[in-house]
Amino acid sequence: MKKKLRNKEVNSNYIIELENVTCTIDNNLLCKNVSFALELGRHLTILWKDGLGKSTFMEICTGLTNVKYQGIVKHYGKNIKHYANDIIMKLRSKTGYVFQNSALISNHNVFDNIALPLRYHSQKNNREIDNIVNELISIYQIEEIQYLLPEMLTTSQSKIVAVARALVVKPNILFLDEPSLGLDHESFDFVVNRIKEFAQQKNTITLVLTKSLSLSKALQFPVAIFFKQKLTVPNHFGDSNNQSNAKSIISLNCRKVI
Amino acid sequence: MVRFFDITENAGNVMINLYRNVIHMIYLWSDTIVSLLTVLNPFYKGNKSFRRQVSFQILFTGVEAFWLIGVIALLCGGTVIIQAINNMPNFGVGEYFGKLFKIFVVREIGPIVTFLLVMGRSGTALTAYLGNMRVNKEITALEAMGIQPVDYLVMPTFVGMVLSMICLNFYFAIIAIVGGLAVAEIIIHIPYMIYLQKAFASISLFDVYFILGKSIISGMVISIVSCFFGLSVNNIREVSMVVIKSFVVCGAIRIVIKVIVIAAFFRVLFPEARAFFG
Repeated sequence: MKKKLRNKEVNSNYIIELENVTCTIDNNLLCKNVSFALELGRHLTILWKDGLGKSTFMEICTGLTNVKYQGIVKHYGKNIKHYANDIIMKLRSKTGYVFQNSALISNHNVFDNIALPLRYHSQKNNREIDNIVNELISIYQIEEIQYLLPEMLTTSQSKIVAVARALVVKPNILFLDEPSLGLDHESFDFVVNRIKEFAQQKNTITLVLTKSLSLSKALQFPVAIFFKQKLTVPNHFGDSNNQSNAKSIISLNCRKVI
Repeated sequence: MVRFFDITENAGNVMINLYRNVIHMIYLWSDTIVSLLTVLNPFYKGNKSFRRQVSFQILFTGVEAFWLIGVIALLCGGTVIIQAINNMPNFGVGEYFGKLFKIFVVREIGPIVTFLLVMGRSGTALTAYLGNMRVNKEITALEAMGIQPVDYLVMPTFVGMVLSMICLNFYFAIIAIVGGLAVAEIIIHIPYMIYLQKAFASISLFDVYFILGKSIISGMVISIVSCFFGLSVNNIREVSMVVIKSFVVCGAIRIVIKVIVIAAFFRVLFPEARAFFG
């Protein structure tokens, strides 16, 4: 019986699934009974006001936080707490994550920061890795800053490097925590185009948490709003197709019907 | 008003934290050893940053400390030699100069001074660096990329620190003997070659193993304790506190290990002491 259940769990279509997640930090309610599920090819933007625990919620979604929460976070159909540590690390090797503060490794230059996940996970030799990184650097037009340390970069530059680092492993899942924070107009368009390119690929998932209305409009993903500790779908936001998509993503009842 | 219950409660909390920290340090040490064995496996093709990280650590801990250790070794060696040559004949033990020098400088002062310097210079810097990484979410970023902080930060530091400590201890011993005698010759005009011969003649293979053992233990203690405290930081205010804490705890652990080793293997390590203790 247990085996059957386990197989059923693992074979779920939903790659990222939150079931009734409630989290309280220092007596402040962060979220209450939040549920959503993303399957391959689905993308979601969550609009979330500043200072209400956006990054913590993102870390809950990825299983990176030690904060205690109620409810279940599933990755590939299985509760993330039940995975062994080495399996979680393997799953994350195919996941891109852009942090709000970019979180570039401070004693590595831009080149090494981008090459870091490849050097750790890839079976390729160093020359092949260097070629891949050089190619990416020329696409992202950051040749001039490739030997600079993160402390010498502007916010826009460090954000672009963070996006490049997240996408260098060709991930299946991309988590973006405020990707447009501190970007100038040119960099904003550039980052949006990179995210859209990623989303157009087959079998990918994107989860964007942002406070920026312009970013959510530019990305044109289904949008959900975090309001009064709950996820809701705005009535007058985007086209009707996107609205129904968002509803199906965040409403468990709708999801079961689908 | 302080109640008796408060005192016992605080004391109990301290003991529980101490126990927890010791257990976590042992876990970190064992994870590091497992990670090292994985990287040393010839069929393992991941973690290509290992050599780069180790060489960075050796550069920072070993190479950049060469001048400092060299000067201190010179001064220590010179002082001990001048004192020994002036005072030992008064007690009729002038012929034991080599042995005394070996026990005093090579076995004891060398490893302890090197330990203190490396701990004060590199260990604290390492704790602060890892603490800042934790605060800036760089450690979380590593975990988000599927990179184990132990594999990427702790294990290369561990290897680099142990290798650096081995080199620095032997370097200290050589500089203390050769340079110390040179200083003594300049100040009190001793027959340099005769004393040099006496000093080197007294050093045996056992002493080499002794220094090697001390270096490995010191390197392990510094790297594991510094990394443990660096990784345990929660916010920016804690960084300065854990730096001091790691320094003190490192010294304490080294003393505890030394006492345990001496208590357990005293007769094996120092066979010459049998004459006194039967």
